[in-house]
Amino acid sequence: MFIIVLCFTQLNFTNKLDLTTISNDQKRVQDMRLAAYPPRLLHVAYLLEVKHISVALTRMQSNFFEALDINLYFFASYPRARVGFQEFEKFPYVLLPFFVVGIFDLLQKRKALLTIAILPPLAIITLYGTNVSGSIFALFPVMAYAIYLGLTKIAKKPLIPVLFVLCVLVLIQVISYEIY
Amino acid sequence: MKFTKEKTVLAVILLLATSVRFWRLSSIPNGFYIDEAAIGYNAYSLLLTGRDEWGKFLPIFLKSFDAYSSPLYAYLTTVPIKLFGLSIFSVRVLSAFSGVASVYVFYLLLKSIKVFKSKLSAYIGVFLFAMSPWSIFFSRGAYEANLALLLLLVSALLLIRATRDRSFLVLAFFVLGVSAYAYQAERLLSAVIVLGTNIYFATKPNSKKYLVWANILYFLVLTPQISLLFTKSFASRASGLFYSDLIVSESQKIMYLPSHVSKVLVLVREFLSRFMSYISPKNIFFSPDPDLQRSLPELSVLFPWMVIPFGYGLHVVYKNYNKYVLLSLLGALFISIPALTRDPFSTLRSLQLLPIYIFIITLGVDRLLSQKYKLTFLFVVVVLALSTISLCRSYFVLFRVERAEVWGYGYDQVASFALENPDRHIVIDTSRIKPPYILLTFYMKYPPAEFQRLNQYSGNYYGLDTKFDNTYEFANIETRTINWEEDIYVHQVLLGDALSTSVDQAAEHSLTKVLEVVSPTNKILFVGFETDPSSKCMAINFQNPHCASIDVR
Repeated sequence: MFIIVLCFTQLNFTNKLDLTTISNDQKRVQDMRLAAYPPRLLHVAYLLEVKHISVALTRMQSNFFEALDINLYFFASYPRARVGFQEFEKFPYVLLPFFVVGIFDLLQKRKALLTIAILPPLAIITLYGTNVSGSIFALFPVMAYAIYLGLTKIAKKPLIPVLFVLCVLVLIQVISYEIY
Repeated sequence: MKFTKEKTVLAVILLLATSVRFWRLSSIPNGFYIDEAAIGYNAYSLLLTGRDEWGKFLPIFLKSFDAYSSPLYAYLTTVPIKLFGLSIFSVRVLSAFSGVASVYVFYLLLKSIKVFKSKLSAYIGVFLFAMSPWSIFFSRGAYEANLALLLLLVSALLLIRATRDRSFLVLAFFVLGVSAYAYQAERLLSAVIVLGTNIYFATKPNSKKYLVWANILYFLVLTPQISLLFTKSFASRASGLFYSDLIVSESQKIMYLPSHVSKVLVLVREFLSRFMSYISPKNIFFSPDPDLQRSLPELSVLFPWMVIPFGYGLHVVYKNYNKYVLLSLLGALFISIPALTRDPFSTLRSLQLLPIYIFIITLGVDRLLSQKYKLTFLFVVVVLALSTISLCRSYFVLFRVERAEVWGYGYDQVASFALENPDRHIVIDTSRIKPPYILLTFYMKYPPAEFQRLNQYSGNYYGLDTKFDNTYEFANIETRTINWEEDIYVHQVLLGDALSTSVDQAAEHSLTKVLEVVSPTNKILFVGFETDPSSKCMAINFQNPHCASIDVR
């Protein structure tokens, strides 16, 4: 239920892009590509370059893989920041190892939960894009839970103060970058 | 030889791998990159004179553009050049052959590992390797990394065989030593693998004797490189690629923390972010390498659908971590090296990851096959068919046209113009283009002995005593920046990119267009203008001092 509410909220905040509309520059590239095909394959060229289904599939793939980019969440998409997006770090990178452990743990022990928590947001992102105010927050709960699972599995009591200090240092680093 | 069903399938895959790597090898990529030309011309020079373009006899590293690159590819390319002459094909053929051989060695590796539940999986894995954009792309250009990958795979196979027969250790270490001459990264990789192998086999029975000989042979092979350990050439390329300046500049942005703490934080973030970019599904399966010269339009290194078996394969590896510890360690090592370079996602420097990723994908396919055979098989057949179409589209259609410019398209036409007009002096403007001299000497088959006389180094070849300079003069060609105050008063051809000479400049300086090279996308790449000092001087009433020497009769 919570995931559904989150998905609808994200949908409201998404700057929805039509999957088949192309800009003038994209049209220029499309025309250039059509000219690259040998004349006898023009019908194939049309199918691969112009047909709405092809354009839509490419857009959907782009949206889908952007959502799967780990760097988007832990490094503000660095070192491949996206053009035209205000990037920021969603989770401190010091928690990345715990996230990795937690996600595999979820995959192993709680497949159903993982499926419910990930598939609907991913579907919405794939269809409507990643241009969301405040980033694609519908995936944040499952990521936070994975980090929590990783922490409970790996971080023993003596490590917690060290982890706390590291988090503070990374926070100072991230805030410094934002202010600069 | 009896042709079983398995052998037939393998033969078909190898035939497909060969076709896709050799078909129109000279013309796709459309153009010839300067690094390829450097390899080709140095190989030509080594073949004819035993010396590289700088005149160094049998160099251990190739100075080239002060990159001090690994020389094995160039040395081996002397063979195809001897057989086929100096041509684009003879320079690329070794990489294409390495690509096909890698497919076969990868098959042997998969068969020897014995982790798959389905007999079909190994063949699917080999097919995925053979048809992966990553392998095909680097097999069709003169890439040292592709040769190094073959040697790495061979050494891996020999090391696996060594678990049953220790004598293979000696050959494995020899191949690892040779691989250090194939590509920069392999210098570190081979050392780490040798160290790890020593640790692993040290406690195994019947290993000591073979380990001793293997290590002796490895160090013997590396002796020439070790002799240069303390020269600037040894680590010049690596130090140039490391982001030390970025660490300094980024650490200065961090408030309240001491400098050394800031630098550590920046280093960790830079390294980790790059490390993760080599595991990010977006980069591996969708977004191509940001370097246009190393990527295909609309296609990354692996096909998008592979993300599903990749994720499943990773899960299998995680679940059986004890069984795949070595794989994980190798993967981490292979990612760490490119993660220490500036590139956000270099498909060239991470090429050694290809077999590991294909293995993980094959593992995922294998487990899916064991659970839902018919559905998985049908899925794999359909997506492979679609992937082949996608590959043909991106590589053989779009890449040929869209990336021609970055691949040095057009220099053959410039070289032809120079050869057809030996009495015309041609100045090539190097303000905005990569060093053109190497492409021109290649296309013109300029005699290496003569070029070495012009390109002599002084001092220590490996000590960077003579630095690379983009100014050259050979045959009727001069490569430098155009000097507009003097060059228009000398009768010659001024050649540069589309921005080097405007229409107004041409009119003002009485220049006549004599050459125009256009890309497959109809973009002007080079324009050559012939000067007319007499007309220029007459137009300015001989006001300029350079006009004093002009004869208008």
